[in-house]
Amino acid sequence: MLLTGGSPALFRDVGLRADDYAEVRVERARTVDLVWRGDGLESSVTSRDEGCCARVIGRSGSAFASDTAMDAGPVLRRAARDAVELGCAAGRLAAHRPYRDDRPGEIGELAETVGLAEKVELLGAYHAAALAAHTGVTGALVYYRESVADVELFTSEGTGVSYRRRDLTLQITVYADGGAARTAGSVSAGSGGDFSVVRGLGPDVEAAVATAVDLRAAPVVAPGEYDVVCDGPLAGIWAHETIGHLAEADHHLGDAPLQRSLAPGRRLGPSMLTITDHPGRPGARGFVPVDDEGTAGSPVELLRDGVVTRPRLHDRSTAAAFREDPTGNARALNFRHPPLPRLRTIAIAPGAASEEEMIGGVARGLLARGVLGGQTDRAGFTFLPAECREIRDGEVRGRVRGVVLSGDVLGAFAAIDAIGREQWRGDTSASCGKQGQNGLPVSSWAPMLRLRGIRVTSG
Amino acid sequence: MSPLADRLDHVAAEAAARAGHWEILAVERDDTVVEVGSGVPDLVRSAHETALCLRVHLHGRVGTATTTRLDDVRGLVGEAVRNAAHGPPASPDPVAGRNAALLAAERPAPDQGTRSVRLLAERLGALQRSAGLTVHGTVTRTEQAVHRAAPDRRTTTSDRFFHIAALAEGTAVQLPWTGWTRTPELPAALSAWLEAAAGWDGLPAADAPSGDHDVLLAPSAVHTLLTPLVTALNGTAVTAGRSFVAGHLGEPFLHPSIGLRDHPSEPAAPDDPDDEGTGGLAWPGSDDDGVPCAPLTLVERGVPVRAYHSVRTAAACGTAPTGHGFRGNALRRTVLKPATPVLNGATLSAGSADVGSFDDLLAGVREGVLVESLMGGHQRAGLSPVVEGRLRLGFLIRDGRVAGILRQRPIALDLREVLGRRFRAVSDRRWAVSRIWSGRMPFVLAGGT
Repeated sequence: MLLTGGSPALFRDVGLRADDYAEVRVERARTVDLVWRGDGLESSVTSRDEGCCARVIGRSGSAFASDTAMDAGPVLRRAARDAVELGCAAGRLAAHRPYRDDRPGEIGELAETVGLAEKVELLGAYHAAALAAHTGVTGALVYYRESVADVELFTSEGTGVSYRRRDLTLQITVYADGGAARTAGSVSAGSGGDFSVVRGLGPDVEAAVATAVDLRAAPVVAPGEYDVVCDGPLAGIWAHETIGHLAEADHHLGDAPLQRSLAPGRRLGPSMLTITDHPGRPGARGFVPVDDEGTAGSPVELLRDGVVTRPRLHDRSTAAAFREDPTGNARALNFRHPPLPRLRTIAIAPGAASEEEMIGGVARGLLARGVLGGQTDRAGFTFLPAECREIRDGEVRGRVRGVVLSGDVLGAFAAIDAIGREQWRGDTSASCGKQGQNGLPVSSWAPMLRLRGIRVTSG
Repeated sequence: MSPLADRLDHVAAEAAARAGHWEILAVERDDTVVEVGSGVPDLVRSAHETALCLRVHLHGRVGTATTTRLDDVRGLVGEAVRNAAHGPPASPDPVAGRNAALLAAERPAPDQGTRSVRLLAERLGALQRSAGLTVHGTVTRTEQAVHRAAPDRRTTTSDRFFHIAALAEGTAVQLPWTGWTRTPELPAALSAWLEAAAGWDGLPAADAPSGDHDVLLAPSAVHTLLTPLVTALNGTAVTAGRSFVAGHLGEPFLHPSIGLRDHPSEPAAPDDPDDEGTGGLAWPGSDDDGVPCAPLTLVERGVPVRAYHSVRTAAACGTAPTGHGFRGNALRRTVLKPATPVLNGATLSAGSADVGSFDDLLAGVREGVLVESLMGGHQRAGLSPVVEGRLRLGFLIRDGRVAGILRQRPIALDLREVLGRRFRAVSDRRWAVSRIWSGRMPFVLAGGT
């Protein structure tokens, strides 16, 4: 039930012009944060985060206002006043396909149905196991977060929708003393509220300990160019950070070189490469059936067979600027922020190669798994894989450390020469950051990739 | 009595009835932001936020709950009490003299409220005409009040400042600049930097010299370079076992001329302009644990000498808290985040013999590079003293002049070298930096190997 009851009076009362657009978004979120660091549990915090925001877009100007008070009227009036008094540029929105479907998606074991005591016992056991696993371990961090947000959106056009968003992440990092530097191994899990993804992670914690401990004696990688075989989680984040962010339409505004680089019909990669931004599936972090402008989500095929098809992910504003259709990518981190074009679930279609074939075709290279960090500025990228092993003459050998992968965003697609046949569809704790809205849940579906001649530096 | 002050009384009374000890932190904040696109103010955003954090001690354990719903006092206290049943053990309060003699907050210059933001945004946009580059950016005016309460004490502090973030865009360069000031004026350093950028925009693309060459780091790049050390000195990294320097305090690490100290801005004379845009960096009287904020030397004559702590990390390390426990940071309190150690006024300095103007540093480079910013440098912060990533923006220097725009390339800098045996000098002026930690950084010149 909408807080306003869907009443249009709220919009009439603030004196909007007939062709002005206004919207109000109300959000009620509850979050649980559990952190283990040092000897044991460091903090157990529950948060209730509620508020509303209003956006006015019209001939006299555009403004956004937010408040932790739940009374939407004053917030809408403030936005309308700021749009006029501070006199900013006018804006316009494209027509869109409002979301109508409110069928709840199925989620396995809802996190809020699991008691706090059980969570503390389960996750605390991971922390204790990591600390006790090896004398070389210097510390371990376990960070768990779950959130449930109920959002209501209503607009001066008469749209009124409500939706629930869930998110759950677990990051476990194990540290060991590597001399001048610390070494690390990690476990990363996530879901759209399904607690079962954090059960049974004992073997993963053991593997993280082994990585951190083994890396102490691993040689530092020699800088140079390598053929790199990436696992699904790394390939997915690579696609997100490269073609994904490049396709966010606000980056295209006024950027003619970027528009030319992603012109439909331009070949970027090999013929087996198809990449789509997708509304996702229920139970996943990047499930966005409706965006924060009320637009129904639909898949956007960015690349098909290596060729640019639809190069832009839109909110209603950028869609109007490019005379294209909104795509359901207008996302806001919470009520404190206006929606921006953001990614949802980036998906690389599976190819035909087996893991053995991909590794067997490498004379001198690296097998890279998971992500410790990654960044792009839309021209270049850098990635730190969570774990790397050397490949020599088609055989996987021991771990190497200090690997940093870097390159040009657009140039890297041409480096792909093999795509795995199995598409990984899990979630990690990695989230998306943009323009101060950091921590937005996203997903990626990706098979293994093999890239030829990737620049590797060591740190 | 303000609605929030009234609500604090209710929370305090309810918490006192259900817990042995309690602490409240409440924040009220108003932000007004005007975004500038291509020299024209094109969007205004405003936010009002009131949020409250309650910590209770019950049967030797701590429970924490936060809320923006100040009308549900019973629900908030109930959540905190429930969390205490499964929470971490409470450590004895180690702080003698919490809230002793709070420093008086600086009085901000009077302004015209939110209209000051619009005025500043127009001035920022006007730089597009004078610099000849396309100017984008944001101007933010923030008013923040922080309330702390416990059974035996209660304080309120308030602050107001402007944040200016600019991006000058030419055909070949995108040069950022950022600053914090208490006066609604554009700092002189901003227009000077944009004028320099305009002169560099038409330069040809270039590769870095292949052999030994000098490296001149801009404040943003110095911030990135120092982040591994600053992170490794953070009490959180120390307690997590991921600090590469925790076991080596007291050992030489950087050039003996270099010092790193966390301290407030020098008080300016009433009519002095804030030329560098550093006067708005916040320095509260106490941190969010209630520990007085006092200047702290982190690196002395090249030697890391101490870590910085919140009450929790200090207790875990068996040492005294240093007044650095903040939810968010001093510029932006975020009640919903946990209190962690944060630097708010870190300043890199060098001995007087190693200080010169930016023009002098540049003129002294026969062949080298000016690194404006790095990408990816924060990814392994705290784990290693090596910053590896990618050059985001840099320039070729020849015979004391900027002669080309560097092509993007991978880069790895070891702070033990750049601020160690290769260190030559720092500039006499510092700019504000703030990402993960805040402070004032100079330009740094490092010689060839």
